Parts: sequence; C-alpha cells; structure tokens
Amino acid sequence: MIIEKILKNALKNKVREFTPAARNSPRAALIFGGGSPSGIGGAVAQRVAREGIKVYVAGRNKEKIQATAEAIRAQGGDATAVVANATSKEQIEGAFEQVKQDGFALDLVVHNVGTNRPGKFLDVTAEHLEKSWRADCLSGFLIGQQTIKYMQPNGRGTLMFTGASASMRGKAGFASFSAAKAGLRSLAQSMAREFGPHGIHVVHVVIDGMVNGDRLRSVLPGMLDSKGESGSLNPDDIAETYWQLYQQHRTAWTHEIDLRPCKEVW
Amino acid sequence: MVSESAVIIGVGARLGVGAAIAVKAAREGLHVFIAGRTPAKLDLIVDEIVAAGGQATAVIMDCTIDEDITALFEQVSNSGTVLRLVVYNTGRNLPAPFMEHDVRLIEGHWRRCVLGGMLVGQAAIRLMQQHIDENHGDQLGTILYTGASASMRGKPLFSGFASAKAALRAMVQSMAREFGPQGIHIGHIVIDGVIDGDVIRSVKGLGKLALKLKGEDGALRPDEIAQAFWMLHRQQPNSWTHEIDLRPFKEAF
Repeated sequence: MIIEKILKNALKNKVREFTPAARNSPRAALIFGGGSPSGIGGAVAQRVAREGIKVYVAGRNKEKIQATAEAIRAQGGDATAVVANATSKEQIEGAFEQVKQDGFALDLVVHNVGTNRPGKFLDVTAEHLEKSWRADCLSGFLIGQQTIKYMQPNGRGTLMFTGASASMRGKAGFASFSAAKAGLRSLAQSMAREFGPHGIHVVHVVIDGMVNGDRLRSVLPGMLDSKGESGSLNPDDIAETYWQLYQQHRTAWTHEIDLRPCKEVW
Repeated sequence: MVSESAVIIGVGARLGVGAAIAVKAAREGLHVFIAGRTPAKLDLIVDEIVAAGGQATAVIMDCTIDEDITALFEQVSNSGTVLRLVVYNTGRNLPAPFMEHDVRLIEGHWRRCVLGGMLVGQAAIRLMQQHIDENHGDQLGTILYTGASASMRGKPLFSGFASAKAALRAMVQSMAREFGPQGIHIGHIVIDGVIDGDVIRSVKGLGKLALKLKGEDGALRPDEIAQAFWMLHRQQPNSWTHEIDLRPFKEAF
C-alpha cells in the first residue's frame, strides 16, 4: 500500500528542468508594497538588490516607491519604480510585462500589501469588509496568477506573501483584516501545494508584532518606544529572513514561518 | 575572547541531520559537543571537523537517561566555553499498526521525544542563564528541536510516534513563550519528507527504492536542513522564528 502510494507520487511529480531562457537571462525581483525604504517591502527590496539582482519596486504612491528605488541606486544597486495599484488587474499585468520587456527572468515576487484598520464588529460596513478583502486577499490572487504565468516557463522562482498574526486567528476588533488575511494564507497554501512540484516556491511569512517602520512611527511613535529594544520587529532583520528563504535549496523549502520580537506575548 | 559552544544531541551517521548541523556549527566557529549512542559514528564526525580546523568533542550518551544529560552539560560547563546553541534531534519513527503498539513501544517514543526533550531543555536553560552578559543583550542562546510532520497530525501506523512528537511540539511552544522574553530563542523545525541520509539507505530494500522513487531532489538533504537550523540561530531577537517547516519542493502535503 505504501509502495503504491510512493509510486503514485513519483508519477505525479513531473518536474520541469530550468529552461535555457531562465538560465541565461539576468534575474529580477518584483516587490509589491515596496514604498518607503524603511518598511518591510523597502527593506526586502534593498536586501535583494545588494546581491546584484535587479529590483522592480511596485506600489501606489509614486514618491514613496521612487524613494526606495533611489535608496537602492545610492547603494550601487539597480532598481526601477513601477506605479501599480495591487487591486488593479491591468496595472499588475503592466508591471509584470515591464519586467519581461526589459529582458529579465522574474525569479522573486513579494506580495507585501495590505491595510489594517481595526474597528468594532458592529461598526464594520460591507464596503469596509470588501475593501479589506480587495487590498489584502484579491491582490494576492491577482499577483499570484501573474507570478505563476511568468515563472512557470522558467521552471523556477519564489513567491513570498507577508502575513500577520491575523492570518492565523481573529482577534477582537480585527474582523475584516483577519478575514482577508486568513483568506490570503489559504490561497498561498493552496498555491504552494499546486506549484511546488513545478519548481515554484510559495512562502507565507507570519509577522507577529509591531514593525518598527515608517507606518507605525508616523501614527504611534510612543507605542514603539514603550516596547523597548527587541520589542518591535526591525524591517532589515525581517528582510534577512526573506532573503534566506529565497536562498533555500529545493530539497528543503519552507512554506510558512513566523517572526516575532522575543518579548512579544503570543 | 571566550569561545562559544554548541551541543548537538542525536548525532549518528555522517549523512544525517545531527551530523550536518554539527559540521555547520563547527564551520561557523563554535566548539561542538556531539552527543549520540555510537562511538564509532561520532569519532568519524569529530575527525572531519578537526581536520577542517574546527573544534569538536564526542559525548556518548542516552538522551532518555537523566544522569547522562547532567554529565553532558557538566562537561560543557567545565569546558570554559559559553553555550549558545543546543539542538535536540532525536526520535525513531518505525511504523507499526495501532493494535501492535504496547506500553514499552509508546513509552519508548515518549521518553525519546518528550522526557529527553524536557531534561535537555532544562539543563540547557540553566547553563545559558549563567552567562547573562552585557555584550549579548537580549540574546542568551538558542535551543532548537527537530520535529516531523507527525508533530502536526497523526497518520496511520504512526500513532505512538505522532503522539510523542505532538507532545514535544506543545512543550516546546510553551517553553518558547516562557523563555523568549528572557532571551532564549526556542525553535521547532518541522521536517516533512524523506531525508536523503544514511537512515533511509539502511532500511533494507525499501529505503533505497523509496529514495529512487522520490526522484531528483525529492528528498531533504541534511546540509540544506542544517542551513535552516543555522538561519534560526542567527536571527536577531527582534524577529525570531518559533516554528518553520521544511520539505522537498515536490513533496505532497
């Protein structure tokens, strides 16, 4: 019975070899939500660029993504800012097409998109629920499909999703965010199972804690200070883990990983 | 400068997870204490590490015996090194139908996974807590446990192993919540798939067939697994991982 199962698996797992195109073209990364050099997306973009990989920084806010691209160029890397709203199918397609037109083999895509607006359950409107779902979950689906479309011919590539503790459980006051994030997590898991055997590594990174980046610093500076040293996540250290996961050999891939400050209560 | 050390428990064949982590940690400059049951196997690994310019000490012990664990950590304590990394990599997953399990079998699994894991965790934490110093701030050390897919769900024929691994996972999660704020990084690595090592090769007939059927890169390489253990150990305390899964890209899960 066991042998039969192993045989069945072996037959199912027809793996494509890396195609000549993927071997010969220079590699590129496309980071959605890379606006602001000191957030997770911006830190990942800079970490990847440091290794000589061309980075496309995509986001809604032209000024912010240009700031990240400039920071990369100032460090000697190669980066291009691409204005794209992650809920717009056309704009996402445009970003992917640009990478291809420039002659790069897309090898890493990061989905670091989402909004987190807490609120009492009875105050959540259908519009708000849908907006959350579009920004956090639908964007993952749209970017995921394009990623597969562009990576599958290469027979390799990595797609990483930024998750949150809300991906794992719904806390009071986070109904719409949790529903959207849990939806994104399931989507990522299903993609990992479908496309792993095709050589595409799909990863879900669960960030559990406050990120010491621009967003929180601008709205809740006191909160960050009160957490103290190692009380909030440093985007550069998060980015290091993203880089290590991207580097994993295909015999030992991680699908899901959690990251939290050592002092975090969980 | 005081040299730092690692304790790797559950080291056997060279082509295995324990040995690969020991070699990796030694290459990164740690004095490694490699603990296992078979002297000949440990000696081979010590020789390799020393030949490469690293430092290693073999310790013969049984992870289910309290005195052995105490002696091991006393030896580390007396070595003058500062303990930074402990890996608990034990467990045997021979399949057996549920109705053929007996008390001896289920207790054996429990001893190797849960009891040994607790004793080692306690000894490691006690020793690490002695080395609170200014230079390391929040980070005292790392304790990593090897898990399996059986840690997450019970498959047929693995009732005893799965119950022990699941119990270990729960204990380790509890430890992480207790000792994270105290600067000790507790991690659980879930290995999901066949490991391309000496253990599977030693399973008569079936083992080699299973590896062959997995195809190219269809089984986990110990060196790549070791890479993930090392990644966790190197993480900064502001972004620690508690649990990570590792599986071959074409593994069905």
